[in-house]
Amino acid sequence: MSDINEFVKKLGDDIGTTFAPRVEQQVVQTGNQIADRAAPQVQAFVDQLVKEIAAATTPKVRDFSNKLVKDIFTQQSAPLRDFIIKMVQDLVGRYEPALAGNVHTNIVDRGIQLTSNDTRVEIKERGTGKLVASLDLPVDVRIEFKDLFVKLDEAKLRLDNVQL
Amino acid sequence: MSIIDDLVKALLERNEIILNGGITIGLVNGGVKMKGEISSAIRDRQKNKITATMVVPLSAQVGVGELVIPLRVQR
Repeated sequence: MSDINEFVKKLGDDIGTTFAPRVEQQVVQTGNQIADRAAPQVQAFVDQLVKEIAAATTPKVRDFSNKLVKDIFTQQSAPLRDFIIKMVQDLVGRYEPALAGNVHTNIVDRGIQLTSNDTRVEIKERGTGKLVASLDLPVDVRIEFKDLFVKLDEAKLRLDNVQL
Repeated sequence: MSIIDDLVKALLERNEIILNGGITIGLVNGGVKMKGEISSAIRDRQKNKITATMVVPLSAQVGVGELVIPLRVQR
């Protein structure tokens, strides 16, 4: 019997194993692009800053920082958006939820009893059908039925046109 | 057609059966139970007179075994 914590842990482990390297790769790639783009500009800025050191540097530093951050975010927003969209699509496409098990139905006194010890939600890999995680859902339901009373009130049986 | 046939035909067409009573149908462990009492009366339609009555007590039970419903919901 696997409880909800085990179910979530198994699903989380699978997601981590599958998607963590891609996230890490994307972060590294984004960091490299930022460094490549920022380094020459920083160098040029430092040179210019040394020359104009006596001038009012504070506003320039602020303006430069603002512009640099805006440029980098503008440049990286599209790749990051595409990466997240693709990852969510892959995540949804990878898993296939299914409900499995057997429900046992018994007639009991004044009701119907539904029980199951093997009903479960299974998360499988869509491509291979491999079980990733399973959550047991024990069923124990009793549906009450009151007695049905059929009353005959002056029901008449007549025979007409009898042919012998 | 014989005299007997005519007699039977006349008897059948002349009389009617009137049913009264009630049946209780309920669920019990392992099946369905019916219990009740039906009273019937044979009435002469020409004379409008009850010629015979009969009371039928009724008690019956039908056994129903366990039903197993497999769940195969997949998406």
